[in-house]
Amino acid sequence: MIIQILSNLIEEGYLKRERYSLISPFFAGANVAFRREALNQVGAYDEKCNSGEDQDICFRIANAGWELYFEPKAAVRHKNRMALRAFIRQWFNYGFHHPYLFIKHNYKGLRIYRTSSRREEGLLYKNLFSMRFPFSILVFLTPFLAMHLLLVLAVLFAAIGLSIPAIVFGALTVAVALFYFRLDMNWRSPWQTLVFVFLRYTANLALIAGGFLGGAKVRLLYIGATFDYRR
Amino acid sequence: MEKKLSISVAVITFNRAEWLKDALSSLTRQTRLPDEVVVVDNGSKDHTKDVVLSFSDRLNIKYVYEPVRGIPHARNTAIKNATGDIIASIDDDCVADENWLKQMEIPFIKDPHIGVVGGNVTYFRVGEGSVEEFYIKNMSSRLRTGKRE
Repeated sequence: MIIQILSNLIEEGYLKRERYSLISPFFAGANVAFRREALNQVGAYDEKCNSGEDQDICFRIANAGWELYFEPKAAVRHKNRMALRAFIRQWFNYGFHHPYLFIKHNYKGLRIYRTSSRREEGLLYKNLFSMRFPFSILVFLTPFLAMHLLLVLAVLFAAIGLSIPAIVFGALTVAVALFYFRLDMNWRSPWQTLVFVFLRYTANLALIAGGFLGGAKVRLLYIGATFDYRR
Repeated sequence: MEKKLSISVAVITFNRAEWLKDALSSLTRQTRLPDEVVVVDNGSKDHTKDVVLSFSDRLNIKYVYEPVRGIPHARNTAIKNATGDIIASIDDDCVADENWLKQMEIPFIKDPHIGVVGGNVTYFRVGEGSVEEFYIKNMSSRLRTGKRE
């Protein structure tokens, strides 16, 4: 079971399992309503979830057989965290709590996922590989991860003096980076491009770092999914 | 005629008295008013309590002080103190649209199998801009003037 990183649904309706086979969708605690019987049945919020408690409780209620319904017309507006430091901390926390939830709801094993984002369904994850294993390892193959692995290879080849592989991996790094930042590009405004690129990179770096450290705390090697926000 | 549901709104807060004021004001403007509002003050050092009590003429509001810190713990305290059939939660840094509770209630009435209803969370926009545009404006003006916030 994989839990969505962020609640970014846009279509009204039931959150059916068929629609979300691999992920457990949830509603952010900022705007959610519970039926009392459902809460009574699953019990309280898990107090070990200092962040992500909303994901955990939605998952338990869905597992108890209740339906989850998204009603976008029930809207609240949220004040932004405007300082950069608070923005980074927020993304770090999103990553940090995810491994605990994963460990809580899954068996030990090695799993590799690939992400694909579809606007109407939030983030989807496709399982590429999965096996029982004495340790828990969870890796998401994302353009963000690929970009960094290719860059490491390029630097390693350059360091040992093999210039052709270094150039090839360097070019691949640039190609993946262009794909990863494609939504941020605006050729008429280099300054805007720079800020968007910076924000996307910073948010996802904080997310991955938070996830890795959160994973270490619960003995899970966790290379998390990144979030590709859309404009 | 379906059974009428009572709705409690749960708000947990910490040191955000001024923002809380906006959140609670938005509850007074609901087209479907909450039957009860439970505010859990998770150890604030500011005038949160005064803000909450100042709404007691407009809302059936309950102030609960919870000294043990932690978001899930505070949410549990709110649930324990709420009496409604439906417990809707909104954060202290949010403002609800006028039809928020009305829209939240409809699915619960429509289908008794629905246990949770989630709504949309949008962001305050600054002028015409999106969140990102706000950053651009903020950061570029900082660069131009060389000033820090």
